[in-house]
Amino acid sequence: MNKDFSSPQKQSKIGILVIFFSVLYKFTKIFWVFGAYLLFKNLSENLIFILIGLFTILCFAITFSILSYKKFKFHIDYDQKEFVLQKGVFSTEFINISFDRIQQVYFKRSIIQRIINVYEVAIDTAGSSDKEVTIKALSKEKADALRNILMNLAVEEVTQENETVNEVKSTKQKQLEWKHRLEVLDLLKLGLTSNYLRGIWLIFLFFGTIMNELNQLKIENTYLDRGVDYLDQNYTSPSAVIFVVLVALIFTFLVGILISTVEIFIKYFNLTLTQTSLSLDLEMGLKTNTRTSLKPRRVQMLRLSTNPIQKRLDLYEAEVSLASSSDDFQKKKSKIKIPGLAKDKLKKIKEFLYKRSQETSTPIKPHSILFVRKFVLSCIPVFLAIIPIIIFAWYRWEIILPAVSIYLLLSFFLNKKYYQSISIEFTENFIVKKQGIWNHETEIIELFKLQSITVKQALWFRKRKLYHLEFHTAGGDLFFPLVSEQDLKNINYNFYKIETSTKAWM
Amino acid sequence: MDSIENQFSNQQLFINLLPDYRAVDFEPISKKKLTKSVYQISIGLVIFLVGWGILFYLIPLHWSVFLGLVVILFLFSFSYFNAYLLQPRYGYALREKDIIYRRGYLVSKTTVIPFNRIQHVSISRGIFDKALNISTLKIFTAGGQGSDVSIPGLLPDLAVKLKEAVAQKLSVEEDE
Repeated sequence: MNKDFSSPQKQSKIGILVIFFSVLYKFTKIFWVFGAYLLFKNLSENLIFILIGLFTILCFAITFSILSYKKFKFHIDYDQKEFVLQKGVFSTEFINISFDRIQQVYFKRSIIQRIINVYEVAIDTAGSSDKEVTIKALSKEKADALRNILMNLAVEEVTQENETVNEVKSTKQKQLEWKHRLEVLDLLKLGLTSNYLRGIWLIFLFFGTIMNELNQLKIENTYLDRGVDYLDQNYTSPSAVIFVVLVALIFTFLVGILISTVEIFIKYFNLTLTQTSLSLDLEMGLKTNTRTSLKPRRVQMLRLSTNPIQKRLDLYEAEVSLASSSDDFQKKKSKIKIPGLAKDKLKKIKEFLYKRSQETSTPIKPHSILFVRKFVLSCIPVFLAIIPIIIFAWYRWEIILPAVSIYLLLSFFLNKKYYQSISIEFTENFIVKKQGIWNHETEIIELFKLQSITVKQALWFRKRKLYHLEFHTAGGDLFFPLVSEQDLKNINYNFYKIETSTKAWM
Repeated sequence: MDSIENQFSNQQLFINLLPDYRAVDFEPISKKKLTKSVYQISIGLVIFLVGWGILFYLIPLHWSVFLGLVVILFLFSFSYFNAYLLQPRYGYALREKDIIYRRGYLVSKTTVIPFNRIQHVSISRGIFDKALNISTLKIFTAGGQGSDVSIPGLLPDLAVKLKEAVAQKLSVEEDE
């Protein structure tokens, strides 16, 4: 093996630019509200101060990026079997990663990194306390070389311990089986048919933060006040109120669609899924291009989802939960979403992950009291809202009564739909849970990946002998409500499966 | 060659005949757990009462001050009652291949952890545990908070024995 990278190295010179832009980005993130405030307030008076401020920030950013470029060095210590990284402008920090702890080496590319044609190399390590280590800017040749060397060293280290080296592995790795690519048209289809609620929610969040920041700076928002006044004066009759609400709803809905589409473009631009005989490689993203490879062993849970429109367009989404250390257990990082898959691709993914064909058994449904309970719970806010209305006689009944009856009807209908959709299947090797009113979700856990099972029973269900089930895996929990006593025998089978399995679950 | 019969068997599996996790006899935990809970709640009560007394002296008499006292007393009497109800619900059982732990009165929870999924086991003893001479056995899995278990109110000897028993099972699993 050639001993590259054995002496301390710097990043590509052009990498200063990457650092510079990331510093600038951080500054704008901190100061944008302040800047907007100055702009709003009085531009001409403060122009000199603004310019001086900008100039200092610029100078600081330039010196900072040059210094941090000079201080950032890395090399491979072949004697100690370590990757060594040294960084820090004000204080120097040494990071040593021994080869056997290297899990994965992969590339990331933001827009700037793509424009100046450098690669960011990220090293994923085992262990919860260490975050991944990144080298911001390397030329393609160097990045490739570094990745290959590190991956080879890591593999070597592991195989030396196990003494089960098979040469076939490396040659087999390159064998391509199939490829999946999301074109612009697919992305557009996805955006228009995905969950708008998320987009609408993002609008609310966005306006919420802006209003909050403005309030803190005590800026009088004259436009908003004037708008509220205008509405107060001109729209007082019930029909006018309903009209305004409808217009607002349609508008938010449209903006929601737009935002969802844009988000999907940014997140999943150029998504490519490549299947080789050993792993499933995924590459996607407009802003930051990430590459990861999925190994069946690390996958703990698989969630498939689609909605009626997407089903017609043959678009399915797969979400894979990976094993994560318990510290960042709740973080989304260990979940990988792959949208826009055709049904046959989905089947191929399943076959690759599970090496088994689909199994079915009779689905078990929760007790029908679940529906009653959900419906009653959804009624509580209505009654809470009605009490003050009755006490203070605030509003007109001709608006309230239709609104309440529409709400109750909708809630009844949706909860009924939900109850019809929810079911769980215990097959020979899997647990399959299905649910969803609009988005049909299917969650699949392979039995030997289970860590433990909790059975819960509330006092008021003791008489009816109903139980909640909670399945724990290293990639998250699966909950299923209100199953009857005789269905618990499936749990015994699950334990039998876990306890007789000798396969590694991770 | 005579051992082949012992090594290989392939019997039919009847789900209804598989060992039922609910058929075990749960071992109760030490009564001292109740004493510990009572101590803990009492300390909280004393702190709240002192706080209320200071308020009583500092601010002018008002009916809301007395309402506060009633609420405090009500909440704490409920806590005592709850601790009393919880005590008999704690139970654990060891099977050949897993450990079962049950707790909770209002919502009764039973968690079953197979030995081959346990990451590690530890014993912890807080101030109250030391004063009352009891221990808490903690069992960790890779399944996160929901699947980790800590069994309180075990006598120290028993806790150590349990820990060793579990650890032994773990090493047996690994040898296989």
